[in-house]
Amino acid sequence: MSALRTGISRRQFGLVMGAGAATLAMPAYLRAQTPPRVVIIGGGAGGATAAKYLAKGAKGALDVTLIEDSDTFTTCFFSNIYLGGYRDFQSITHSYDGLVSAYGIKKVTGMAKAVDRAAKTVTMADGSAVPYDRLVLAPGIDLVYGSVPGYSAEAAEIAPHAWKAGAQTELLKARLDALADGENIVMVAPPNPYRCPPGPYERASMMAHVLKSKGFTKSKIVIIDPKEKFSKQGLFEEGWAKYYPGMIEWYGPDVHGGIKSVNVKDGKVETDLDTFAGALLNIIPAQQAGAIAAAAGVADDKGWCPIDAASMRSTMDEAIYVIGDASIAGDMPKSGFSANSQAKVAAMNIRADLLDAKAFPAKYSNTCWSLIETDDGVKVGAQYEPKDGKITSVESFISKTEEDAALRKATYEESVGWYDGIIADMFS
Amino acid sequence: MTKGMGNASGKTAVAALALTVVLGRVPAFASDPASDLTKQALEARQATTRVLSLDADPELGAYLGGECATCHQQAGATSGIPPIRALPVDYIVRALVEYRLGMRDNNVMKLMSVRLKDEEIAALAAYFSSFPE
Repeated sequence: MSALRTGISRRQFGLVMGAGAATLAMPAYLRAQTPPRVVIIGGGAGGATAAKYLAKGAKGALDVTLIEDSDTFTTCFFSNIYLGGYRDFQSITHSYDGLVSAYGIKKVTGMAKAVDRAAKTVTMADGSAVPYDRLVLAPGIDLVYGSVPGYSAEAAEIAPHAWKAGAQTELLKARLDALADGENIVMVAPPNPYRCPPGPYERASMMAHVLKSKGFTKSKIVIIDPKEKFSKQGLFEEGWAKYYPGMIEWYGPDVHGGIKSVNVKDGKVETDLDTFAGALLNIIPAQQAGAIAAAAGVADDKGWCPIDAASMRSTMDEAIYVIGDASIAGDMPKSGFSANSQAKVAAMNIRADLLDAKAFPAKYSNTCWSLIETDDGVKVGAQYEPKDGKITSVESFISKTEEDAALRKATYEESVGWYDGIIADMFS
Repeated sequence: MTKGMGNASGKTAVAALALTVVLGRVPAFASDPASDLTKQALEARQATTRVLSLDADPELGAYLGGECATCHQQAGATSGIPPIRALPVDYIVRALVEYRLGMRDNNVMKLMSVRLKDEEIAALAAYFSSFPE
């Protein structure tokens, strides 16, 4: 056998934690013959992947339960491609049935409201309790509506954020498709950190594609950004000048001076510089970890969950792992690809923790593809390892400006292949 | 204790390659400093030989293979990204070695390969070749 046994087994972990204490605190699943219970909250790119890799790798030795409120999952990734008219809504919506039946995962359909960490149970909205030996939190994001004065959950029914895929995405598409030439769109981009760093700018590209395809020449898309720079900025700005000249205007804080308030009924965004008016407002507010993370007491004062970079284990509770957008994953962006990658590290470490399976040194990766115009795709990617107490980028690449059309087309086709790949990796 | 790289025909091919190296033909190319491509090709061959001689750890292969499954569908379906399940061991090793050396173009694959150790390439190749065709 190779000499690559560098992972930490549960026995070694016991030694690290103090062997005596570990024996005294021997949990029920080691005394009884019932399989240890792993409960996952949230069925997105992180949670669905974790459920599958836990169940698949343990081959019946773990009792895996997925708590998810919805019967289907609409992906945030590729929701801009739907917005651009390249896909229908059905093609970005997926069922949990295959995942549940293929791997013997129990699905509890409902909302998790609280976590009793002493009793190791999840309290559901209906009052029932789901017991766990290890808990994986993959709740994604909640929107901090109040970060944009005047914005709220109710206001989002008029001025959609569409930053959690589903009805909001369909609303934004319907509103976009209903615009007449000369009517403007004002987008308020979110502050860091937020889900999908290139997402707002790919979205502006896709909205411009729709307007341009209809022959519109007078409508504009104005992006009011609280950030001084943004992901893939050079690539997007090159694409906007090439395909949508004069249509997309981006203003950073040095120009607009600060976002003061929005009035969704009047279609106005007020900044220090000026008031911007649009027939369609797309307000993407600040974000934090999904509510269950704070309810469980594993989020910090900024609303995100600190984790151990080597395992995705919460630094606040060793029976809890936090993956995906909710976690503070160092250099990794909040993306479906990142969540999927983190889920595999967590699943491996939980199996090592509960079943004496091997754990290897964690490796993480991410690639974010963006579509600027038909057949013009760009990408940014990196590999990460635990280093200096955080998940640290160790290698990276980004598409270059002035790439030839064939490469950009291949990049888009690769993104479609990735979409099909990650969906298969999550759900089948 | 699985010997994942026990591919008899692969080892024969490797032996023939090793003989060529011993006879001095490839090192002659390598001694030409202007010929980076040839040097790289030699490096690729040597690394492939080295990796093919290793025992593969199936558990490591299964873990690392999860990273590939994000894009390459394990069922083998293809759309924009080629399937890799059930490819021959020596093909996978050679491809990963060439990505690691920067001899192949795709920047996602270069990213995924550039830090792979020989043992990790061996484990990945054994893992993916073990899928039924």
